[in-house]
Amino acid sequence: MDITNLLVAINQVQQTFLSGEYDAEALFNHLLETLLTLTESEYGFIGRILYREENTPYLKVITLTNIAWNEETHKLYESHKESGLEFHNLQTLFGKVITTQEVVISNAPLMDIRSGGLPEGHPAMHAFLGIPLKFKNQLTGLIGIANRPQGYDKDLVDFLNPFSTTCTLLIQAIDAQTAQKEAFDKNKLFLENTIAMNQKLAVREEALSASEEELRQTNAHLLQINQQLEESENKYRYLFEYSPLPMWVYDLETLQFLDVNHATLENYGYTKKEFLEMTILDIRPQEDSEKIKNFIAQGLDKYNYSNIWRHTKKNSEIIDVEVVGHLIEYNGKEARLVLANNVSEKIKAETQLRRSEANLKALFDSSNQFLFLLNKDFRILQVNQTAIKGVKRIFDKDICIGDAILDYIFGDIQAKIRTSFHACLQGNAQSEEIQIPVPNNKILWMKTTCIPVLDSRNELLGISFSILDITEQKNAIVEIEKINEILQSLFDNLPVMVAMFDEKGEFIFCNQTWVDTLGYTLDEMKGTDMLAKFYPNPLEKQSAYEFMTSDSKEWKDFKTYTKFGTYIDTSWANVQLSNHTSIGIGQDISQRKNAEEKIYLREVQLAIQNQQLREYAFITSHELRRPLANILGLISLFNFDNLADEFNPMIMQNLIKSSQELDSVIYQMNQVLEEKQYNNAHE
Amino acid sequence: MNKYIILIDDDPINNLINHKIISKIAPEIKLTAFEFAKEALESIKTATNPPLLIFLDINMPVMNGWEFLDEFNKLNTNVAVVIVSSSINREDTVKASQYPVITDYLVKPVTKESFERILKKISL
Repeated sequence: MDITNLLVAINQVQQTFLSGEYDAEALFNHLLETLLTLTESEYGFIGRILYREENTPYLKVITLTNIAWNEETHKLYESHKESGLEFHNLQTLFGKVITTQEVVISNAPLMDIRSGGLPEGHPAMHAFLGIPLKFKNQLTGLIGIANRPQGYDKDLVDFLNPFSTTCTLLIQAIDAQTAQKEAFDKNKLFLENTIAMNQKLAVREEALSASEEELRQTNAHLLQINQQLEESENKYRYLFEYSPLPMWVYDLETLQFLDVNHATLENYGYTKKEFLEMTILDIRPQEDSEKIKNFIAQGLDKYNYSNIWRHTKKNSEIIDVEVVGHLIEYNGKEARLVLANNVSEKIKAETQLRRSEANLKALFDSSNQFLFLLNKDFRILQVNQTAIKGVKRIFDKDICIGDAILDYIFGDIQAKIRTSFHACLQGNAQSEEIQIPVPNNKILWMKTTCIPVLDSRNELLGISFSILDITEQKNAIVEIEKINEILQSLFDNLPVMVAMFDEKGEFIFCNQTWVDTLGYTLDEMKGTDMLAKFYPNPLEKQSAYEFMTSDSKEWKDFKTYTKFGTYIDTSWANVQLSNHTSIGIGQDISQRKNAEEKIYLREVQLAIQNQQLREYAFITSHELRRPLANILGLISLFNFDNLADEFNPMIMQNLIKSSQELDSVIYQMNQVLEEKQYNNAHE
Repeated sequence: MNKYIILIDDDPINNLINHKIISKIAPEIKLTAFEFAKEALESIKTATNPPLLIFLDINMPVMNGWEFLDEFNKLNTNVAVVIVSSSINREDTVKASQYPVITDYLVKPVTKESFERILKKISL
């Protein structure tokens, strides 16, 4: 909530009052209207507290929101209006304000025991705030407001304090003026009566003594009226003294301060004594002196608004002040009553707002999106430079503020956007992706977004419509989808098993070869401890897990148990991806393993056979040839020429011995051969 | 100094045959036969007079011809060794060629001509 708006409203009401040309009801109507706007309340009233003869208080409403929304509320409103808008029932929330003379806040009136319920036709009440208006500790009035969306609180009451004070002072001031007028009228009547009586005195001397008595009574009456006038002036002075806004009176001739109020002392920092020794030039920067002198010299209207001036506080701080003046006679001098409202914060806020608006405009124009602000008829209120240039470039058209946006769009797209706009008017943001054919047989992809634009009271102001060229992204997505299709086809047709896991080991993807080889589909594997299924042996499972979580770049073989109830030989490799997912690549190596085993067995067999051949060669070289060589050597020594040679018998004996040895060796060799043949046949 | 040749062979018949042939072609040379290579090695180590030649069989129990050669090489003598074996296995001849001390490889039965050629070679 903006304190400046509150003070401006108070200022306006005070100015109107000070001008002397006001209608009390209109003044309070304006105050109530301002109060409802400031507090975002739905309805309310401002009233004064009056007392019946038995000193029982009741509420007489000065101003009341016209709540004639339907027939029932209209009836209720009219019935109260007829009764002079007086409310005597104090068993209500506002009655509680009157009886306790305290602020009443109720953010759930239906549940509130202080509430006496609502009369038929009374509009629904979701929240209520009642503020007592007290003058010199006596309850003189009451403000009641209802249905602020976010409810009421103590902070709001504090914020409204200057407002409450103003209402109180106005009630008093209006009462005082009314009393003054009544007293004046009475005075006038009595003077006329006196003149009439004096005339009667001339013709009725005999009634002199009686008339003297009447005259005495009349004088006593006049004295009483003067007292009333003095009292009224006091009340008027109270309005000056305790106004929440600075007010002062200065001598138009000398520019000397003649009187200042409390708010002036508080705001400017000088004491009243200091003020009364100063002129209005002393509270301005020196360079502004001529300007103010000229302003006064040109002659002032009785009531005028003198624009924004710079004032200097005692602490040298310079403030911007909005000044309203009123020519008056003060103690016989021509003077000016001034009401000064410090608008420095307001000006600062306005400057910031202008700067902020400039920044927003720069941001708005520099966006890479086409941005439009549309009214409820889909006409352009604002458009950014990107959109103006884009539409010119693509369609060779100039966008004009006030144009209907749908005039720039045709065919199916127009219907689509129109539907989005209508949905947006119902409060729903909409987003569409549309294709726009442009010259050169090209298609542009655009993403349109409509967002309802609401004011601070959540009422729809229009539509924020943005268009983003997403052609490049779309083309990229199409390319990616093509690549994905190729990759999927590639994966499914790869003669190896491929599966992808997340960091928890959950399956994300598997190809067709995986399903064909291991029997499990992706759906069957999700949420299942597949390692336990593939590797029922805990040690094998642990080994597989360690391999999966390692950074190994090698292939590793595992015997994997399939859904078909068989073990197959598999070989696996892991690829760790940067996003903590990993890809497992595996192949069924059962056939290769079988072939390798056969080759290994054949190699072993050949090695055994080679060994046997070596042994056989040794036997033939050493064991077989030794007796044979001996036989040959002995034969060469045998003396065939002389059979009776003494060595011949010995040679013969050794020949027999060697022949027997040869026979024995051949027999052993035969046995060895038969044994090998038997073994080979069985292997 | 007595000239002598050492025969190392576990087969007494072969020793007999070789003794007879060498006695005929070189009666001045004494022949000392050993059926166990270890005994021959000890004899060579302790002998003051080295043999002219050693005829060595390969396939013998306890210490075969190859094991004998490994130990014999450590003695650093100039005595030549001739292999006399019944083996016609190529592995044995290839292995024999790797020992510099072996000057020849004779296949049993050794003929008179073979012995004459060997003895001539060492200029006896």
